[in-house]
Amino acid sequence: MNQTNIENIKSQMRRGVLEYCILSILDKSDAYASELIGKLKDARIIVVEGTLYPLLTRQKNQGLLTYRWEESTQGPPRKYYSLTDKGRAVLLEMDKVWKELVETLDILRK
Amino acid sequence: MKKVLNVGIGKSSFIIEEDAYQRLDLYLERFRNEMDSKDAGEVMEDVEQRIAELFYEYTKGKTEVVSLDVVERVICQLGYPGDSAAGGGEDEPVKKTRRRNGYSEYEQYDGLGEKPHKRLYRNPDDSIIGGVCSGLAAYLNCDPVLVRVLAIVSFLMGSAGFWIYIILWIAVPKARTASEKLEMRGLPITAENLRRFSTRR
Repeated sequence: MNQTNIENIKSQMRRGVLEYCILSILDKSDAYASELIGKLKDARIIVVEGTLYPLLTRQKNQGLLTYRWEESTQGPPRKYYSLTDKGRAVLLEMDKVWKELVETLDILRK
Repeated sequence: MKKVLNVGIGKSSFIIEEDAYQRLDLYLERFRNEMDSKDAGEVMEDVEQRIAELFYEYTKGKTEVVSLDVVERVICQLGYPGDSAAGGGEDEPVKKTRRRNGYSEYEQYDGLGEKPHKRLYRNPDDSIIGGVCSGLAAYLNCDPVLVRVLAIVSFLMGSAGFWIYIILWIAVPKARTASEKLEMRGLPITAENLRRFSTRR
């Protein structure tokens, strides 16, 4: 298997997990895009921010997220994202899948 | 001294240096091209908003004008939607400087992104009469002296050469800005190249 193939698999895996991460963060509390970025960067799942914005828009169009405009002390109003009921349901589903995957790997690695 | 522009980004207005503006414009265009067209409008709004936020953050207190450095930092932070660098972004691809068209001191086209297009300009930095010959030499990627000799020979052979020169002088625009000078040589318009050109004068 060549290098680009491995890169491809890696980025596919990260992308899936990244969507899961966004929902998980928003499940705990609503957040600005910049807060999401900060958390995801701290957790080292993203390095560049550009990958996040298309994902957020897609998740919003799928009805998983919603946002409202919030005034900010510095600069223009910003989008404040929160999870919808549908998003919460999808998150529960993803939690289940994640657990299953981890268990599968545990079994296989024994 | 540098020319500055007033631009609106993400519903805020900023004063931005000309070369910084060109770099940002190029970046936004490339970002948009990497996305599905149906989401593009909305995502670009978010991105512009974020850029405005970062400009606020970076320029606060220090300078009011957004410089190329700031733009470069913002672009580095934002990256592109298709960047698979999510995660281990330490392994940035190394930019290769190839000796191709004799401009080894400048960044060459690296095979990624849009291809730099070459346009015919008159070269004001290296001109004897109107900069037609040296502009033509940059376009054809050969020595300006050779083009000048050929031009003089054609002047001596009859009036056609002379008239062609006059027509080119009128019709071909002068390369004024740094990005036009890069275009004249077919070099990619990157921040690094723009900076080199703007400081060279």
